[in-house]
Amino acid sequence: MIRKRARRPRKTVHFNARLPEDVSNELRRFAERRRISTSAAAAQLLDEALRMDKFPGVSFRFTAIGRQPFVTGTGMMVWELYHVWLDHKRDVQYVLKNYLHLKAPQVSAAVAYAKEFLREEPPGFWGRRPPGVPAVRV
Amino acid sequence: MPTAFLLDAHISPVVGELLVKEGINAKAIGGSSLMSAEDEELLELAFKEQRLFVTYDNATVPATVAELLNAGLNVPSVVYVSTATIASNDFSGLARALKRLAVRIEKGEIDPSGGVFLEKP
Repeated sequence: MIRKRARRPRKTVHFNARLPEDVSNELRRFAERRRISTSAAAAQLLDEALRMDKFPGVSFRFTAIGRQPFVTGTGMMVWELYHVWLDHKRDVQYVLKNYLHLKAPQVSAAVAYAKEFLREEPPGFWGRRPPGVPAVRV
Repeated sequence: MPTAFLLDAHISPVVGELLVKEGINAKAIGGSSLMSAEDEELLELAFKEQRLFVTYDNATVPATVAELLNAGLNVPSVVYVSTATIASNDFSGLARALKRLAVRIEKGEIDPSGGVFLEKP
């Protein structure tokens, strides 16, 4: 059984690096657009690059709830495909049978990533009634 | 006006096919040219085509709806589904629930304008 780990602030360490000037300028612009510090932007982008290297087929996009991992070429967040896989009895072939447009490596990438970073799944995703939305029985 | 649906990318196109067979206007994002579109684009399309947007994503979609409303933009009605109510592999169950929902909306029994969350019957 996969258990969610509690969200804890991540430990940070000091790290110096020399960057090409144009990269540094681009990083500063990125941070300004997102209203975060240059240091936070560098840490975020480096973290994402390392994750993308570890999990080919996963990339990151901004969403209304912050930066989220997506399965490249599907428009789906990793969490969406992960829950589809869970509902399909954790069987990739069963998923592919019902989602003819998906490929096995896409499902596998989502599952592998989600298992490692399950603690980062947005709360209430895939089940909880959104606040203020009335429930109906049909 | 007959109820029409736009099914989020994580909903199997099989659900759309089942609804169409029942004579309900439904469009699936999965497998279509819109597959990689952002939530904002999908919600905009649903509003433009007067479709109810159906999703299991009960975190990002409501937040996107709120952002669009805060920006003074139009949003479509959204049907939120929980896997605890209808698992995402229960295509006929979801199609049946959406068909019943469409009937009740058309009878004026349910107003979906502020969104609805499907519960177990």
